[in-house]
Amino acid sequence: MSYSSSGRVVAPGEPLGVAEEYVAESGTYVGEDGVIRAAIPGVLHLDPRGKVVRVRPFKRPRLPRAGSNSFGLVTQVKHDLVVLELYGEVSTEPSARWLYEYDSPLTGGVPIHLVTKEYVKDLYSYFRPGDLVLARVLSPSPPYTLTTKPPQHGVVYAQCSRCGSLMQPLNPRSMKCPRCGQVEERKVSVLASSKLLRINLRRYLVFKR
Amino acid sequence: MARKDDVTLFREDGTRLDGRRPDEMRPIKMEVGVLDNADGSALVEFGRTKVLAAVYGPREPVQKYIVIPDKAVLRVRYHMAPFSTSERKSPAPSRREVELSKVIREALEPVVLTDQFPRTAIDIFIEVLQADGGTRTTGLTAASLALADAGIPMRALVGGVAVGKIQGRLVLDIDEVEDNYAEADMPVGAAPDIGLITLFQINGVMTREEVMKGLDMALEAINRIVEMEKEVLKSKYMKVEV
Repeated sequence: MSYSSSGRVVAPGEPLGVAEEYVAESGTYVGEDGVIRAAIPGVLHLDPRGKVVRVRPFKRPRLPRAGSNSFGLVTQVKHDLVVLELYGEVSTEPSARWLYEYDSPLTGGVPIHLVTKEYVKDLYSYFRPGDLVLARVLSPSPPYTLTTKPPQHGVVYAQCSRCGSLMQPLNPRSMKCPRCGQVEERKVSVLASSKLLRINLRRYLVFKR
Repeated sequence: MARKDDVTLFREDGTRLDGRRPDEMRPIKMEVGVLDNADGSALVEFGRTKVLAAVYGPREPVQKYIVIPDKAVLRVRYHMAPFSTSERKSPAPSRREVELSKVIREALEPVVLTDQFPRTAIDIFIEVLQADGGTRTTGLTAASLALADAGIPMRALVGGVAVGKIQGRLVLDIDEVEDNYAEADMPVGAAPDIGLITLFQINGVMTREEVMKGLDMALEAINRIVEMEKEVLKSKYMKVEV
């Protein structure tokens, strides 16, 4: 028994097939009666070879997914956790480019064991409040767990604690202030020297003075 | 105000004051995506009743303690604009509005697939712009459309309509005047695709037979309302594709 064909526009509640016939993937669900129905308005995709149905959404809620490269500001540095306020996400492959902004800020955190591969004695020498950080999302729902282990993740923007100007990346572990020469320890992202990314993320910075 | 038995709500030919047959709905208008700042929105009119719905989320609520570990919470605010009635309505939420917010939330909870967004909140704002009877069912219809417009997964679309009993006769989709002189008012909300009644109230006195007949009338009408909802959702995006 087949109800429908690929490419058709469907609305929530419309029957698409039965559970014996297809695997219900994104945008669909299997009801108590065993019928697969559309859950969102979108375009129907039926794969008769792979026996898969999905509905490609017209609009999907803007939330991070596991694997997203999110950026946000450090709000707190605790002894075992860096708390972040996430604003949106970027793609890092092949080059860093802006992807999208979340509808509202979300809370996330990088636990100490997910900061780098090395042993971390003091989190404060990796992140400071106010830093703009790029991190990978690991968990599916808020509060999000993130990691900064890969080299492209870490601090993109940081303010000098002495004069307040924006620091430039020096090496993967430190940044230097172009105005007063102060060198501070950070977990620096290799993308911190990407001009495009810096320009796109600059507006999220909150200057401390 | 005239006494109940002074008024007649039917014309000599059996039609109602506005010319509808007893089983006829008011003309319905639906539009989705009417608000740019909301994630999903809809404007629904049942005759002179006009209701706007806006959906935000799923998002992280400011009050973190309200979240549920394995699903999203639905927050519904049903509100009547001060200018929605003939006499100014105080903008403060009344007892009635608080209760209707709860009733509409409970009419949406069984259809929204909240388990896909744990620890988040979905906010639904229902604003009555013009009230002429049947605002809760119109609001429910608008909320369902706005949720679908926001791309929030649902088991099925819901729709609502009220059945009234006037001078011993059952009429579909009663308006304000009819409601004021009616013996009973029975709002119904349902998701016909999955055979689920999600809202059912009765105000007034009806016999068992009248309830069963009225429910049939309402469900038949809801079927048509939900079909309209589907058409509106599809046609919005058909235009985008061109």
